Amino acid sequence: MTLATDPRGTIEFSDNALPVVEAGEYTVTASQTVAEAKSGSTFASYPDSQRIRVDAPRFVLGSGDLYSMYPPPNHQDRFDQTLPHVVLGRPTIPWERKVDPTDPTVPWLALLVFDDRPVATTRSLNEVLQPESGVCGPKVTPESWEKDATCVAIDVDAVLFAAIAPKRADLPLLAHVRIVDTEHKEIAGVVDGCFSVVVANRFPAPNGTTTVHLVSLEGMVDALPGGPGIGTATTVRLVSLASWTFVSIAVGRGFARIVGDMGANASLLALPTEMQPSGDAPPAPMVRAAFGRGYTMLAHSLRSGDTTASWYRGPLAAVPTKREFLTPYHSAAQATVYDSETGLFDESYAAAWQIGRLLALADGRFPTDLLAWRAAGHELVDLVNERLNLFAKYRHVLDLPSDPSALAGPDLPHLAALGAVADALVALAGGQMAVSDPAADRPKVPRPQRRRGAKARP
Amino acid sequence: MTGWDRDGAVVTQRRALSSPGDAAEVPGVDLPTSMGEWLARLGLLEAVPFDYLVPDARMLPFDSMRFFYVDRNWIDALIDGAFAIGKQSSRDALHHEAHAVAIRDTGDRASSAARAVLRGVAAAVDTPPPDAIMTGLVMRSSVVSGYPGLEIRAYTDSTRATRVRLLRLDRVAPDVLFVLFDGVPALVDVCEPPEGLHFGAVRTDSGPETADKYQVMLRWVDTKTGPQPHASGDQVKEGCGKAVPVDVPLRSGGNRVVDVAALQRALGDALTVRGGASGPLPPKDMAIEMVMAAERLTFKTERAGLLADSTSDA
Repeated sequence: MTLATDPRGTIEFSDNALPVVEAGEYTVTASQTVAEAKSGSTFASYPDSQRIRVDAPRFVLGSGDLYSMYPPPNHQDRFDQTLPHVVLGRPTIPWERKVDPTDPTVPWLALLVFDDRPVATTRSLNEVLQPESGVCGPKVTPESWEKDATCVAIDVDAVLFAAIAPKRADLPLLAHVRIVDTEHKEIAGVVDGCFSVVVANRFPAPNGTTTVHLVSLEGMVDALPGGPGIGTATTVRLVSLASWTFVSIAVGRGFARIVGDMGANASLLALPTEMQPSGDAPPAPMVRAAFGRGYTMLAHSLRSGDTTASWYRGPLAAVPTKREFLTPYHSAAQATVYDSETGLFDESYAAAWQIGRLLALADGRFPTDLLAWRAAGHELVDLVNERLNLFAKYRHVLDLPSDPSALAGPDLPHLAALGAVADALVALAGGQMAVSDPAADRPKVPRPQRRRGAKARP
Repeated sequence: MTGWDRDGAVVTQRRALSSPGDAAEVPGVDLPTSMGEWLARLGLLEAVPFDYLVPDARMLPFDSMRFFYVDRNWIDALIDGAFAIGKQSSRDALHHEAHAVAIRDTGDRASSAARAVLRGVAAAVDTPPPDAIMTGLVMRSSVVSGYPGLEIRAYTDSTRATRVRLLRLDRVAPDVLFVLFDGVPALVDVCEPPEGLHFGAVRTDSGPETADKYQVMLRWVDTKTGPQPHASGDQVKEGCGKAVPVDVPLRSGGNRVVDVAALQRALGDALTVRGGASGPLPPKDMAIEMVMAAERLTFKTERAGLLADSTSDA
């Protein structure tokens, strides 16, 4: 199955994504008036109202709100030419709160890039919103349900803040929305491919550790550079919603180098053939050939108590294999293959069969489904079987047609469509019907025969 | 309805196994639809412990990429084992045997459609041919953890004309990416995630830090046809294909802080004189200017040993 589209892929940028409804408490009111049709005079009115609360992240981010950050956390590479950014899982997040009540397009989130790591402290909301003197906190009125919340806050020197924080006019330029195609990526809860991005305004230091904080600027518009200022305060206290650290070095590898090197050494999934399985003796050509096909040799405790080594290869092979349709197996032992060349067992399919059993048993739903399905199948077979026997018994008495398919009467409309089940049944009960004694008192229930022997089937 | 009772008398029987005309599952015959999801999980090797997939860590060292062919017999054995639980009699065994083909087909169909179902897009409903070749790729690297949303695109030929469908793409460990292809790709592209494309500039790294200078290469933000056709995102070329650098204005103080509003003006001016914009750029166009091109690495799978028409292993 193949699809053809533009191989380059596309990405769509958008200035912002404003939420349809702002966070807060709302009252929805509805009223119905009943009026007389002719005169139009009102004689009854039925008003009703409902309080609803629209929530949005404010002092903490919800799980899944933060999709990724760049530079990757704790990575070490050449990052000095990069403006750090975060990708947020929902497109509206940067505009769900307001910095400037008059302009909804100004995002309330910003990234601050620090050369040294500011101390992040978990504080109660009171400590953040009404800080001690000399500290400027966000001027935010919390909602009644938020009062007991705690959040992570950082204290930043006011001079440093004025130097590195974005200006109010910068903010709309530091956030945007990206829409991408998710066909080629891990699904992980993201299906629509619509993300918001917040970018920092400062390049990391060429050498050294950099810490980035995603901070809330709600209620901080006065403190921003170019704003009215914060008076005598010497410290700015900010709500930090996320933070990470990375190291910038002079000569890095970067995405292209890391992936490129990997690709240059890409091979099929197999043990290196120069590998020695045990001891010092070089592996025999036969063993090397097996390694080359993706096999490994694993210690194997036999049922008899002996230990040996056996071949194992998982579902990921280093050579193409033909689908042989070997199943069903009736035991793991039946799936074991004896390799006469090496005198060892190949336990690959036996291991697959066993792990399949264990996964099935560990599943919450599958065993119940399976047993119910099997019971329903048996019930149907019983019914059909009984019908066949009765047919043989009373055919002459009742002068029925000689074809047993006539039994697929209106109450068994799908009998003719039984397919595989009917085939098996004929194999089982076909002979039975012929030998059935019409004078017998009770229909015989045929005993199924074991039919399995050889492992491989055509 | 006319039926038969145990004593052989013709009696009226009101037993309905399924309402006539109901094309949905017939109890005891069809596989319950709920089992499709389970079969897809097994068919795509989800939930199988990683040790069973890669039994020896030396097969997948750190920072490595390995291709493989999927051994469908192994998966058949896995599914067979799952269906073997609770078998108490040869009758149960016979029931299983009678449904072997149905289980296989349902599993193949569900596996093929699983990714489309998860992504919420229209799924292929055809049963894939039973001997269809599945291949895959497993990658263990810090880029897997560092670049969430990493993209894998696969093609059957080097011209990228036909795409090979992904059956599964998952991080099975923080730094291990596991991909299953519906076919044998000739070309595999590993791309940086576009939603995570970073903003950057070229830094002339000489001299003291106060002398830092950053430049971005100007890009078109509109699409034009005519004498100088270009698409949004294309680099502006002048003279003999030379890119146009624009200095990134920094705030004074040597803190490497971008004067964003001044940059917006500078980019807008540079584009305006070339007829590509009028005035300051809106945030989305700023993003187009500042974003670094996505890295795309291309691999020929043939070089790694994955061949489309090699003969089967006996």
